[in-house]
Order: sequence, then structure tokens, then C-alpha cells
Amino acid sequence: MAGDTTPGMAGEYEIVRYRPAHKSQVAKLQTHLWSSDSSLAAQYLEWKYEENPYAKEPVIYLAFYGGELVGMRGFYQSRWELGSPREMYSILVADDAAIVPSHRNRRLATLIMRAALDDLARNGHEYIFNLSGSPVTVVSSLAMGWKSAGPLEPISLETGLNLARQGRRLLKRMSFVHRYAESRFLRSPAERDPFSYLDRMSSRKNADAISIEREARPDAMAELVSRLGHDGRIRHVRDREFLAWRFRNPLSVHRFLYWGTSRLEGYLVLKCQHPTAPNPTKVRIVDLEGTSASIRSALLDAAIDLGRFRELSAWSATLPDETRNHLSVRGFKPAELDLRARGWPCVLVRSVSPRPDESKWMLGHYRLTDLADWDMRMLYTMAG
Amino acid sequence: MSTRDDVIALIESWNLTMPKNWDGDTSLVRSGVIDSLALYQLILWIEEQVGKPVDPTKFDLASELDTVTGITRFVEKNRGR
Repeated sequence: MAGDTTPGMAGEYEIVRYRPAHKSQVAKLQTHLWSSDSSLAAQYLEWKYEENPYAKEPVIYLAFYGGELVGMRGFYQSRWELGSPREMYSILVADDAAIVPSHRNRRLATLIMRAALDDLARNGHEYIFNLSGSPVTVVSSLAMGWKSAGPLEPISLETGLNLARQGRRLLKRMSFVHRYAESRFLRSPAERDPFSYLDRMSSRKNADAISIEREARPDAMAELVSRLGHDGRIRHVRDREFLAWRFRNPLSVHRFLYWGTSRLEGYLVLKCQHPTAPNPTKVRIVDLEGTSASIRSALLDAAIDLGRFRELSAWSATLPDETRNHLSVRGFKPAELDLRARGWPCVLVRSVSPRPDESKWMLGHYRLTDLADWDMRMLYTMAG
Repeated sequence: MSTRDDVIALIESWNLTMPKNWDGDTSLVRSGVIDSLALYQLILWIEEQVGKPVDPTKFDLASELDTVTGITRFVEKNRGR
């Protein structure tokens, strides 16, 4: 089906490729996923699939039942680099899975994914990734032949007595009121605006080497990444186009700590969710670069000390030893232990071949199913 | 009730669209009869039975949990280990 819209019937459902005429229906369906605000969901859809720097045509599979949109699975384009000399690969990332409640437990998730895999195989795709799937998505993906490259090992630093946080945790364990645990009314002022303290500090730091800003500097950041070089492991391309797009995500709020002015010597990117999205209170370190270990450590220290976040988290699996040690010294501890014990969060890879067992599961000379061959950062995923 | 009976009772409680004349060797996971939320609920139920977290990335989920017979074997093999 590719560019056309008719993969056909799957049982009682009709599965079609997305067309612009579907946009408002998809945005409405996405309110089950990201935000109850359908205009924000529409902005997210446009940003992710239509403004994507690597593909302008959304790759989204839609399931209709009696003319009503009841399920979807989206794939957004990404570009990866590896090896020396550098090889580049364009790879679709599976994301945005939504089924309306009345059609759950009716095989629909499987039917949509099967239609998608058949179509992607016909169109020459070799592998697809899933980089920030929920625990439900990870389990159902594994059942359909996806493989985990390995766990991303979340760590976090929690500071201060936080009655709001403790109250939410208590509510989550209670049968009838757990749905209210993420209510805005249960957030402390610092949680409603996690960057409030950092923003107040930003004006005081202008005389120092580190500046705190609300805007990305995609040209300077890309130049620094290019100057620092690459050890060859699988990583997402961080060129100007990607970075400029990445930080326009309407569901995310970012802050940037820079070392240097026109020519950067380092940067650190922090992110929290849009206030109307689920879990808006967490602040995450989504990317860190620097020309020396001391600059990287200074950027981390600035984020920790000037941000005064209730909870600051990161993925530690592929961090350099020196960064992991520094975060440990600063008090970061393994986080989300219940989910870690279940292998989540993780990088998932799927061969699109009709016979995945015969696939090599390699990009160039690098193993897709071994996280040691990845330089994985939250920035490359929708978690970041 | 045996573990096998418990597995069947669990699956029947979900009101899934089951194949006609399904039995203990009918494919449930590979076929997609159990997917998404039901599959996640199955993992949570198995965790309750074996008394510890189950990491689905560490085994071939589609193969080992595909049938009632397989789920029963998995639970009995991991219970109390």
C-alpha cells in the first residue's frame, strides 16, 4: 500500500495509511495518550510527523470500525550514524499506539502492527526501533518478535521532604482514588513549575562560564557535537536540523545550560513535560556534551545546585564511567526499581523481514541487540 | 484448582474473542488473541503466582507463554525458585 491508503481489511477492521484528512480524528484519538487538550495533541502530531526533518509524510496506520477511528500506530522518521568512516541509516521509530477503550482486548493492536510490518517490509525497511515504549507496549512488542537491546537503567536524585510526592505515592496504591494521584491539585508549587528556581537563577549566572537559557542553540550545539567526534557506536545524528526540530516538541519544556558563548565548550539539556501531560513534575537530563570531563561535571553540578529540582533523573546505561561516577557522588541512585526488575525502560528493535530469525540484527558492524554497541541518550527518544 | 485451571479461568475472565474449540495448545500470544493490555495483565498475574517480578526481555515470551500449556509450565517452573 505504501503511499496509497488501503492495506485492506483485518477481520472486522479496515486498516489504512494516514492522510491529511484524518488529522482531526487522529488528534482526538491521541488525547487517550498524551494530553486531554486536543489542540495540543494536534500540534504534537504536526510537529512529530509533518515537521520531522527526515520525512514530511506521516507513517501512521489507522484502524477504522464502521467508519470510526478506533486505533492507531505511528512511526516517525529518525536518522542514525555509526562506525568510522561514518555510515548513516534512516530508521522508523514505532511510537504513538492508541486503541479506544471499547476496542481493547480484541487483537486490534496486533492487527495494526501486522499490517504495518507487512507494509514496511514491502517498502524496503530492514529494521524499526521503539525507544520509549510503555511497559504495556514493551510486553506486547516482545510477543511480536521485537528484541530488547538492553535496559536503560534510570537513576534519579530526589531532594527535600516532599509531602505532595509522598501523598501521590500513597494514592497510587489505593484502589478507588489512584486515578487522582497525578492531579494538579496534589502538586507542590515547585512541581507545577519545575524550572522556576533555575529560571530565577539564570539571570545571576551571566557573568559565569555557564549560562542558563530557554532557547536551543542548534548551530552551536551541532558544531560542538561534530568537533567532539564519535567513537562509532550507534547514535542519533545531532545535526542542526535535528536539534532545531527536536526542541520544538509542544509537549516538552526544555532548559539549556551552556558553557561558552558563540563557540560552545559544553552543553546540558533538561526537560520536563508540558503541564497538561502525564507526569509533568519530573525533570530529566536528556543530553550532555563537553570538551572535558571537568566541563561536563560542572554542567551537572550547575543543574543540580541551581535547579533545586524535587526529582532529577537520567538514563545511566550508556553514560561514560566518569559521568556515572559523578552522578553517584552527587547522590543519584537507581530509580524505578519495580520497572527495572522487569527490564524497562529499554531499547526495542524489530527486524521487518518476514523471517526475523534469519536477520543479522546488525547495522554495519554494530549489534542492534547489544546496548554496548549503542551511545543511547534520552534526547533521541520521546522520553527526552 | 490446578495451575492450568487457574490459567484458563483467568483467560476466560477477560472476555476475549477466542478461537472456536480452543484448548490448551491453541496459540494465544503469537496469534494475537492475547495482546496489549491482556498480555500485560497476564505477566502481572504470573508475577503473583511465582512471587517475584518477571522480566519479559529475558526469555522468549511469544514461545514460552503462547498456550495455556506453556503458561502453566512457565508458572510451575518459576514458582518458588
